[in-house]
Amino acid sequence: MTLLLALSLALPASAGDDAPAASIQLDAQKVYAYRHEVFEGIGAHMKALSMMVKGEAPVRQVDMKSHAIALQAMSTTVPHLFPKGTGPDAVKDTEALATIWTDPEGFAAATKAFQDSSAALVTAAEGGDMKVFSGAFRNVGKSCGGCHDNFRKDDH
Amino acid sequence: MLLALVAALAVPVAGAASADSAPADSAPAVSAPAGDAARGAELAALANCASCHTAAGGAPYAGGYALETPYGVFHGPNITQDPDHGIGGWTWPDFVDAMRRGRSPDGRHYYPAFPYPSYTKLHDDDLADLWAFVQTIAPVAQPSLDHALTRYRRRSVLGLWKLLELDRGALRDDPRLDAELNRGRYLVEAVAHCGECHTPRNGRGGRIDRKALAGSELPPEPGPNITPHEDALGGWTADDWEALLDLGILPDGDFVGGEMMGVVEHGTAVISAEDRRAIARWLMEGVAPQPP
Ligand code: HEC
Ligand code: HEC
Ligand code: HEC
Repeated sequence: MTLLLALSLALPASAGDDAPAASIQLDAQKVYAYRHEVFEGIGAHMKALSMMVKGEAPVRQVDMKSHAIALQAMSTTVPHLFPKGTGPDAVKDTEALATIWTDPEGFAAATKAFQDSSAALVTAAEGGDMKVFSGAFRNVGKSCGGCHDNFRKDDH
Repeated sequence: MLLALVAALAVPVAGAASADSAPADSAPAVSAPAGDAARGAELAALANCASCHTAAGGAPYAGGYALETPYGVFHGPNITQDPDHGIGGWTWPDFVDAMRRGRSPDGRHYYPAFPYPSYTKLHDDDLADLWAFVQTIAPVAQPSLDHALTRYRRRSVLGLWKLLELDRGALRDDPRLDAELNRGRYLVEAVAHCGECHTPRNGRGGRIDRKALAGSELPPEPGPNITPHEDALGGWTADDWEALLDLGILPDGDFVGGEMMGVVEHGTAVISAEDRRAIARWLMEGVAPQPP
């Protein structure tokens, strides 16, 4: 338990050093292409949920929960999406800012805000109260903008 | 040309007085009209008064927020009811003068970092509601901070600025527009002052209104082009706007951040769905498309 805790505490700060499991040669361009897809997927789940929150899509609790679980799961990948050497120096198209690697604590905090708020979103989906869910959804949205403000290029 | 310049430069002292007779400006009644503080609170939310007048973690409206601009750092002052450090001693005409004319009770010009160039357009009854709300703000005895400016340190130049840039007086309904469009225009231009962050500015820091909402590069953050141009937000539907104004979500599932999330969270998400719809319609149908 203590070991686990220590490990998980150490993770965010050292996230940039994380090597992929199979140590294939890290191709910065491909890492970028992959994380781009991950964020597009995250965006798609948020968009789908927003349609439920706005009453533009049928609201089924089980579906709400599926999206929330997907978001919560994807939030755990974020620490692995930005290995060192995949920043703006190496990848022309990336919108990632160098601050991700110069301010690892700040980035870890922004990541944690997403993980915590999406975990709360799952709980809210399980509760099934749309008003509570809508509040939890807004909080996840704030965690997206909160990270983009400091770690993603502005002119999006 | 030279003459015009001399005339313009000579005006600041007399400027306030001569501008006072501008026709669109109704003279404030000396005694305050009965305003509705609850409605005033809603207006204050959409007008974002708290954002500039509250320091991070500080008491509401007690001042201290640092507003970074190309001219240096402005500090939103204490506007609580404290008689010494806030505006507890103000009268209704003092308030109207500040909001409509950008002038303090002792006759100083305010910097337009205080968005009175937008608030001047507020209707009389909305000003009265705001005044009713402002009077409910709990007093906090906290001194306001001085601004730390690199340019325009002397307020006297602001008289000239106002002559050139301040188009004073309540916004009148345009008879060619239906009620909802007029409402949307009013909310965008007078209350929510979207243009303060989204309209480009000239060298004097005045808004270039013929390019309204075409995007501004100025700090603290560039505000993007939000006009219905095909290369800007021309493809946005009423549902896209409703989702943005209520949730802060963009059509691709991304979210706005920074200043804009504050505008949404404390402003456009709090107002009625009817008012959001009016804002959306004005932005889709009323605003001129501008190329990025
Ligand atoms: C901890 C930081 C962080 C969090 C939290 C975060 N993002 Fe991002 N996001 C980024 C970064 C950095 C990029 C740029 C990646 C790149 O270009 O290499 C990005 C890119 C994106 C993109 C891709 C845009 C494009 O065209 O490539 C979308 C969409 C997106 N994020 C949506 C979201 C949403 C929705 C959330 C919240 C549910 C979210 N993000 C949470 C950091 C974050
Ligand atoms: C974008 C930031 C911003 C917003 C939004 C804003 N203000 Fe201010 N306000 C300022 C600044 C900066 C000053 C100081 C101007 C100066 O010193 O010339 C100021 C000054 C004032 C004053 C004069 C205070 C004094 O002691 O002289 C009043 C009253 C006031 N604001 C009320 C409001 C109200 C009411 C709202 C909302 C309807 C509002 N403000 C919204 C930035 C803002
Ligand atoms: C205090 C400054 C400020 C005010 C006031 C403001 N905005 Fe914004 N707005 C911004 C900034 C900064 C961004 C960029 C947000 C980001 O980086 O995610 C933005 C982004 C947006 C976007 C997203 C555009 C895009 O293409 O991504 C829309 C739409 C928008 N604003 C509409 C409005 C409307 C409508 C109003 C008035 C009700 C308004 N804004 C008032 C600062 C402001």
